[in-house]
Amino acid sequence: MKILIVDDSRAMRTIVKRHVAQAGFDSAEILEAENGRDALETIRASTPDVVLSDWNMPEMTGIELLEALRAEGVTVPLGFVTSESSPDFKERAFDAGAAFMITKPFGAEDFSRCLAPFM
Amino acid sequence: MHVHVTEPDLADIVEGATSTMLGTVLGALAPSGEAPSEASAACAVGASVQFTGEWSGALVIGCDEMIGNEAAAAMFGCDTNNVAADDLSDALGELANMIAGNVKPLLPGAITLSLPTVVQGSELRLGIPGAAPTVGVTYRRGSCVFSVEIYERSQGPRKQS
Repeated sequence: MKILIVDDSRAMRTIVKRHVAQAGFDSAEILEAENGRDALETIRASTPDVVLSDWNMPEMTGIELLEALRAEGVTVPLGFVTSESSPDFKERAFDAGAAFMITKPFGAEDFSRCLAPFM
Repeated sequence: MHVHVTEPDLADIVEGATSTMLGTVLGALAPSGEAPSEASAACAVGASVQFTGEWSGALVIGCDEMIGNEAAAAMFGCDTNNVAADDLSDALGELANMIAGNVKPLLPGAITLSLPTVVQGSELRLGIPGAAPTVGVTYRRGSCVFSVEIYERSQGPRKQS
């Protein structure tokens, strides 16, 4: 099982990794990317099983990443881990094909609930 | 449109974000009742996120080096003595982003968040040019300080059509 964590903040990638392990997925292989463009290349090369992506990032945002993946026909489940919690962002995310949204601040139980269907 | 975020609203968001993501690091801090501008002379790190759209302003957080290092260490899972300057900036920027994201739904209209900007120095005078502070919270533990403040930009007079 491979999980790609996409966030421009190394601190947040570290926290997400810790929460994923605490949620019981400590045997998963964790891949990391710093922005959407970096993630797109990683997904093409490494085919992760699930992507956990921030929304606001330089180079390419999380929603642009999701739209680019779907335009290429890549169906990897992508969930957002973001501080953007407004209803309009949620609607845009799910319309684009997001699998779930985890809002910061979060707990390990959020990852347990959202990742379980893909494990 | 004026911001209607109250001090208790902001305190709830700040305390929720810090307690969930940083554990007990900021739990030992107590509200001081000071305006953040009064405490900013003690700040060595400042981070801001801009709000743009139907309402315009910014969220600014500030803290001294000790609290900044404790927050970064909690995020990275390392010792407070082993926090690099880049990691301190990363951690405080992410904290500002998280708090701003949770403030955003309380602001009027469609709003976009900027990426965070972080400054480090000593006796920082934190502020946003062309914007006025509207609501803020300050926490202290001895000489250590952590503050969060929301600024509102003047929209200027509306043209009559």
